Amino acid sequence: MNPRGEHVEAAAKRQWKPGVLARQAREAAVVFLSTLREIFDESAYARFLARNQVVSSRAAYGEFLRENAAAKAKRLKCC
Amino acid sequence: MPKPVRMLIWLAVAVLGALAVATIALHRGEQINAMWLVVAAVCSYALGYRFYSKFVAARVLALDAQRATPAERLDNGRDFVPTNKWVVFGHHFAAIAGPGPLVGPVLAAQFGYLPGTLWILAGAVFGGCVQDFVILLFSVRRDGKSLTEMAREEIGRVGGFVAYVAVISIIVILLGVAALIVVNALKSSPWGAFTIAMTIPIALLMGVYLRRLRPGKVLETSVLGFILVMLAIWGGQWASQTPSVAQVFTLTAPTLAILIIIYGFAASALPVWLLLAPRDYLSTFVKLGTIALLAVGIIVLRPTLHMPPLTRFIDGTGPVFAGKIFPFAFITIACGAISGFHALISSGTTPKLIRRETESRMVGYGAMMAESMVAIMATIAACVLQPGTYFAINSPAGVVGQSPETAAATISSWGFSITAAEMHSLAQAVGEQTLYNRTGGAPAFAVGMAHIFSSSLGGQAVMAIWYHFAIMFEALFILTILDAGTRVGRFMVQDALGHIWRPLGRTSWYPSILTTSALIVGAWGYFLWQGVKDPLGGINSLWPLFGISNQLLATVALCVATTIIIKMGKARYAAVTLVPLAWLVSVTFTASWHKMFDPNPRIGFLAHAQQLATAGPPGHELSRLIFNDRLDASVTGVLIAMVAAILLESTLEWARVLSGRKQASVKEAPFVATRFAAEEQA
Repeated sequence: MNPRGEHVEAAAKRQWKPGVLARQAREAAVVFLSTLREIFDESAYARFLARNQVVSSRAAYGEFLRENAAAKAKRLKCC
Repeated sequence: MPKPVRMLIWLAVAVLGALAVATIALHRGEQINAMWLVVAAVCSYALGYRFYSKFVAARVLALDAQRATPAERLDNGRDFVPTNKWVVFGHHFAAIAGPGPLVGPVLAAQFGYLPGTLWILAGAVFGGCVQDFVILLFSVRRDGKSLTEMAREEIGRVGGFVAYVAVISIIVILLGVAALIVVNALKSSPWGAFTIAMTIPIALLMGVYLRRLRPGKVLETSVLGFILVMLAIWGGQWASQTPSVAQVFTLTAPTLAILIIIYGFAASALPVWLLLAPRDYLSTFVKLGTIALLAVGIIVLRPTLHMPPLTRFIDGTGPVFAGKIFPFAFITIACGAISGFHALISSGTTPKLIRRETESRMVGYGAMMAESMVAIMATIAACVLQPGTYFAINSPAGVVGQSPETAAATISSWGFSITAAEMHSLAQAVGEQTLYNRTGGAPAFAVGMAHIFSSSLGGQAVMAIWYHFAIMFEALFILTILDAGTRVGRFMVQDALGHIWRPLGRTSWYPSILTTSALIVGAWGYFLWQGVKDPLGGINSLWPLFGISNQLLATVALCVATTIIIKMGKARYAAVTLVPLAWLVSVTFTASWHKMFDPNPRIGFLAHAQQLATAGPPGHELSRLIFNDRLDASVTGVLIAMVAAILLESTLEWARVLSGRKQASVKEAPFVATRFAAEEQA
C-alpha cells in the first residue's frame, strides 16, 4: 500500500461480484496491516527513507529517531 | 439498496436497541446476559453515527469535500501526511484509548450496571463523540492547531490560559491517580510486581534491538517484546512460589510508590528511543490485542451479569467512593462517555493526518464510539463478578475493616453475601495472597476478565494467568502514561519557564530537564503519596479530582466549539455543543461543591479535615492528612474557578457576536481546493 492508501478508496468503488470476497478480505488485511504500520511508526520510517532517498540502516534509523524524538516525546497518551 | 429497505433496516435497529435498553433498564430481581448491554450499545452507536453525526456534519459543520486539509496542503511526509481514513481511525483510537474507560466504569459499578451503562451510551453519542468530532474538524480547518491555541484565538487570553492550566492540572492529577492504581494492584503481589519489573529490561532490550539489530522493524520487535512479557508472566508464577524471590518482590504500597516515583523521574530523563518508545510500542500492542480479545470473549462466551441494575449505594453511601449517583457517577465514568483529554489528541497528531475533511466524521465521532464500547466492556467485566466479591476487592480497609472476617461480615450486612473463605479461595485461584482492599478498579477488572475467560479458555487452572495478564496489561500502559505524561508536562513547564528565563526553555539543557522533571514528578508523586497514605484508600479522594479536571478540560473544549459554531453563523445549531456543555457545567460545579463543602466527611474534603482535627491530639501524621484534605479542596476550588472564568469569557464573546457588537469571524485557514476530489472522479 502506498502512503496515501488510494487503492483502498478504489477498492471501495468496485462493484460487488461473486468471488470478490477473497479479494476484499485481502484488501481489508492490507488496511489492517497499514494501520499497524502507521501506529508503530514503520510507515513514518518508510516515508523518512523515501524522503531522504536512503536505505534502511542503523545510521538511517538513528537519524530518523533523532528527527522524531521531540515529536514523539511531546505526544500525549490519553487517559 | 432501495430507500424503503434501508428505512426498514434502520427501523429494525432502532426497535432492537430500544428492546435492549428496556431489558437492561426494567429487569429487576433477575440476572441478565451481558449481550443485552452489547446490543444496546451497538444499536445506539449505529443510530448515533448514521443520523446524529450526519446531522452535525451536514448542518452544523458543513463538511466540505472540496476543501483541502492541512495534511494535503502542508504535506511534508513527516507531521502532515494525507493518510487513509481507516489508518487514521486506528491511529486515533490507539491514542485515545487508555486506562480511563476501563477503570471509571468499574468504579461506577458500585451503583449497579444501569446508571453507568446509560450514561456511557448517552454521554458518548451526544457528548463525547460530538466533542471529539467537532474539535478535530476545527483543528483541521486551522492547520492542526492545538486546543490551547484555538481557545486563545477564538475565545480570548483567559481561555488560552485556562486551557493551559487545565492541561497541566489534568496531567498531574491523572499521573498521580494512575500511579496509585498500579500501586494498589501490585502491593503484596510478588507475581504482579515481578512481571511489571521485568517489562523495564524488556523495553530496554527492545530499544537496543530496534536501534542496533533490526532498525525500523517495530512490529517485529513488539511481537518479540510481547513473547518476552508472556514469559515474564509465566516467570512471575515461579517468582511467587519461590520464597527467596517472592520476598524480594513482595512490596508494600509506600515502597512501590517510591519505586514508581524514581522510575517516573529516570524514564523521563532517558533518551526517548531507549525506554519510552519501545514501552509505548509494547503497551499499544498489548492494549489493542487485549481489547480485541475481551470483545471476542464477551461476544462468544456471553457471560451473565451478577450485579443488580441498581444498588443501595445510589444514596451516596458507597464504599468504593462516597457520593450520590448525581453527580458522582458522571464524574467517575469520565473517559468512557466524554473526556476532555481526547480534545488534546483531536487537536494534536490526528488533524495532521486527515486526508479529506469529510473523513473527520468517521475518525472523530467513530473512534470515540469504539472507546465508549471499551467502557461498556469494562462495565461487563466488573458486573460479571458476584457483588460481594466486587465490593470486597474495591472497598478500602478504612470502610469495611482490616481483617478478612470483618470485611466479609460488613459487606454481607449490605446484602451482598461473601465469606472470608470464598475470598481466600478466589485469591488463591488468581495467585494472590489477598484480594481485599485492592482499590482503584484494576484488580476488579482483572478478576472479571479472568472470570470471563476462565469459564471457557483453560478453565480455573489458568485463571491466575488470565488475572496477571490483565494486571500486566493495565500496569504496562499506565506506566507508559507516567513516562509520556511526565515528558509532556516537562515540555509544557519548560515552555512556560522559558518566558521567565530563556535557558530554562531549552529542552536539551540538562539542568532544565532535571529541574522541570523533578517539578512534574514531585507534583504527581505528592498526589500518589497522599493516596497511598490515605486511610480511605486514596481513590475516594483522587479519582473524583481526576474526573473533575477531565470534565473541566471537556468544558474548555466545548466552550471553544460553541464559540466557533456561533462565529460561523450557526448559532441556531449551537445546542449540539451547548447542551453537553451545560450538562458538564452542572456536573462539575455540583461535584466540586460536594467535594469541598459537603458536611459528610467521606465526601467533603473540608469536613474530613475538620473531623480529623477534632478526632485526637495533633501529630505529624494527622497534620499531614489535614493538610492533604485542604490541598485537595484548594485544587478543586482553583479548577472550578477556572471553569467559571472560561465560561464567563465565552459567554461574553457569544453575547458580543450575537448582538452584532463584534463582527463574527473565525480564524480558519483559507480555502484551497483539494486535488483528491478530481483524482477520485478521474
